[in-house]
Amino acid sequence: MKKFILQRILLAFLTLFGITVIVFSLMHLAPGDPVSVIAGRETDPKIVAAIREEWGFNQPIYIQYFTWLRKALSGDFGMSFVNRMNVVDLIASRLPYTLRLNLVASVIGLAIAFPVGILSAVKKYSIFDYVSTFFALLSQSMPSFWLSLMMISILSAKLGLLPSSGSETWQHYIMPAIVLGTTWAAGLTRMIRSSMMEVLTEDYVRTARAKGLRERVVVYRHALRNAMVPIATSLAYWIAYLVTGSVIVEVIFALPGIGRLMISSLSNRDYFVVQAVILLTSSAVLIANLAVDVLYVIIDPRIRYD
Amino acid sequence: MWKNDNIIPTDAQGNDLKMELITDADAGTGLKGIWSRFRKHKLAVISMAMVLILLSIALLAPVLAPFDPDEVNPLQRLAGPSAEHPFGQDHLGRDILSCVIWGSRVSLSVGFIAGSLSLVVGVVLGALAGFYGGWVDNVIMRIAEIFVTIPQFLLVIAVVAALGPNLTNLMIVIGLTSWNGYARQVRAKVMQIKQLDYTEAAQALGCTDSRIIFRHILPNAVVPIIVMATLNIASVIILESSLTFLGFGAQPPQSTWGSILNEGRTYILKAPHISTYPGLAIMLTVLSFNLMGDGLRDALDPKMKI
Repeated sequence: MKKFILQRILLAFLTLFGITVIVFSLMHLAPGDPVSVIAGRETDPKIVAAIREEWGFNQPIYIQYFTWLRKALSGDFGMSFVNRMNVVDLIASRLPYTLRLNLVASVIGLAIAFPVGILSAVKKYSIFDYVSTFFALLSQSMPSFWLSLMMISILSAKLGLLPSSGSETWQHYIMPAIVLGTTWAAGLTRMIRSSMMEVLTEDYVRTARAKGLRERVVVYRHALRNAMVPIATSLAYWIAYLVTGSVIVEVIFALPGIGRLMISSLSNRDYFVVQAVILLTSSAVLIANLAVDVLYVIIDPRIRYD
Repeated sequence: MWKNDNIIPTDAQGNDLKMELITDADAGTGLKGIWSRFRKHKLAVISMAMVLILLSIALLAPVLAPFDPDEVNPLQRLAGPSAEHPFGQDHLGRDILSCVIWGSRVSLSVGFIAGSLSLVVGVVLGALAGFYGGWVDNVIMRIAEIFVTIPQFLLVIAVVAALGPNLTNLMIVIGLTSWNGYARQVRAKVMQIKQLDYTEAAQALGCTDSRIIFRHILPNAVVPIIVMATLNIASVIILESSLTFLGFGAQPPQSTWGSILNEGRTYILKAPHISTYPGLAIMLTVLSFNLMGDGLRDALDPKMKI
C-alpha cells in the first residue's frame, strides 16, 4: 500500500510539472514581449528593465521557466501591476469572498443532491424519480449566467427581496450561492442516483434484505457506503466545478472574489495574477484527487493497488 | 465481443438485436443497427426531432428571421415584446427574435466544429494509447491527466484571452481541451478488443496497425463515441455562450446568444426580456442534446458510463 501511495504522489508531481509548463506558457501565448504585457501600465523604463532582469526575460525560454518555477515554489508569484500589490497578498485578500460563497453553495448542493439522488435510486422509475431527474437535467442544461440574470430580474428588480450586487451583507451571498449550489447539485444528483442504482442490484444488498434488515439500514449502511466510492471521485472535481461557477457568478453579482479577479486580470493582461489563480486552483484539484485516491486504498480493502 | 453484454440492450428485444449485432461487426451496416434500436426509445427520438428542428432553424435563418438582425431602430430601444417583435427589442432597437434565430447558427456551428475537433483528437490519442500501450500510453494519459486537473473553463478563457478573443480561437481552444473523455473511452475499448481473437487473426494476416485500428477495432467503439459526442456538443454550447457572455468569444457586432445576454445584463433591471429569450434558446438547445445523448446511451448501451 505504501508503494501505491508513493507512486500516486510521484505521478501527482509529474502532473503538477505539466501544469506549471502550461501555466508558464500562458503569458508567452500573447503576441508581443511578455515584459511589456506584464508591465502594461508601467511606463518607467527603469522598472521595466528591472522586471526583465528579475524574471530573466532576457534569457532563453527554459531558463525563464526555471526562474519562474523557482520563484513560484518559494511563494513569489510576482506583482500585479494593475493593483500594485504582491500577487499572493492580492489573492489572499480576495479568497475569503470565494470561500464563503463556495462553502454556502456546497452546503446547498450536498443538501439537495444526497437526499434526492438516494431517494430517486431507491424509488426508481417512480414519479419522484422522473420529476427529479428531469429537473436535474434541466438545471444542467441551464447556463448559470442566465439563471443568475433571471433571479436578479425577479427577486431583486420585481420583488425587491434581495440585493443584486455587492458583498456587504449575508443577503448578498444568497442568490449567487443558490445558483452555484443548484447547478452543482444537478450533476451530483444524477451521479449519486446512478451509483446507488448500481449498488442496489448487488448480491450483498439482496442478502441484507433477505436477512430481514430494515430498508433504512440496507440503503444507508450497505448500499450508500459502497456507492460512495464513485461518488467520492466526482466530489474531488467539485473544486474545479465550484471555481468555474464562481467566475461567472462573482462577475454577475459583483462579488470581489478570485473569479472576478481572474476576469479583470485577463482584461487588464495582468498575467502574473492569472497564472497564480490557475496554478492554485489546479493544485487544489490535484490534491483533492490525490487525497481521494489515497483514502480509497485505506478505506476500501477491495481496491487493489498494484 | 458480441458475447459481451456491453453493447446488447437488456430489454425484451434481446434475440432480434443479437442478429443485427452480428452484421454490425462490419462498420458499413453499423449505423443501420443503431438506428433500429434508437427508434424504440421515445425520449431519444423526441430530442433528436428537437435537434433537427434547431438545425433547420439555423439553416433557414435568412428565411425565418422576420427582421435583419443588424437593423437598428433607436426609437424603439428596449421595447418589450409586441405582436411585431414577439421577443422585444434590445438597447439598439434590434429585433431579438431575429438575433436569436441568427445566433443559433453560431452556437450550433461552434458546438459541431469544436466538438468534432475534440472527437478527432480524443479518438486518435485514445486509440494510440490503447493499441500501443507502454510508454505511448503513459505519455498520452499523463497529458490527459493534466487537462483533467486544470479547470477547463479557466484554461480556455485564459488562452483565448491571450491569443485574442474571437470565435475561431475559442473553437480551437475548446476543441483542444475537451478530448479527455473520448480518449479514455476509446483507450479502454481498444485495450479490451485488442485481446480478442479476431484482432490477433488480423495481425497474423499481416494487416497494418492503422488498418487494424480503423477497420477492426474502432468500429466497435462507435456507440460510446456517438453518445459522448452528443453530450459534448451540449457542454461546448454552454461553454461558448459563457465565454461570449464574459466578453471572450464572438465580438460585437456579431450577435450570438451569449453576446445578447451580455448586453442584456446591463439592462436586466429595466428590460429583462432581452436576456430571457436567448437564455431560453441556449437551455432548449443544450437540453435537446443532453436528452438525445442520454437517450442514445440508454437505447444503445445501458451499461455504459460517462
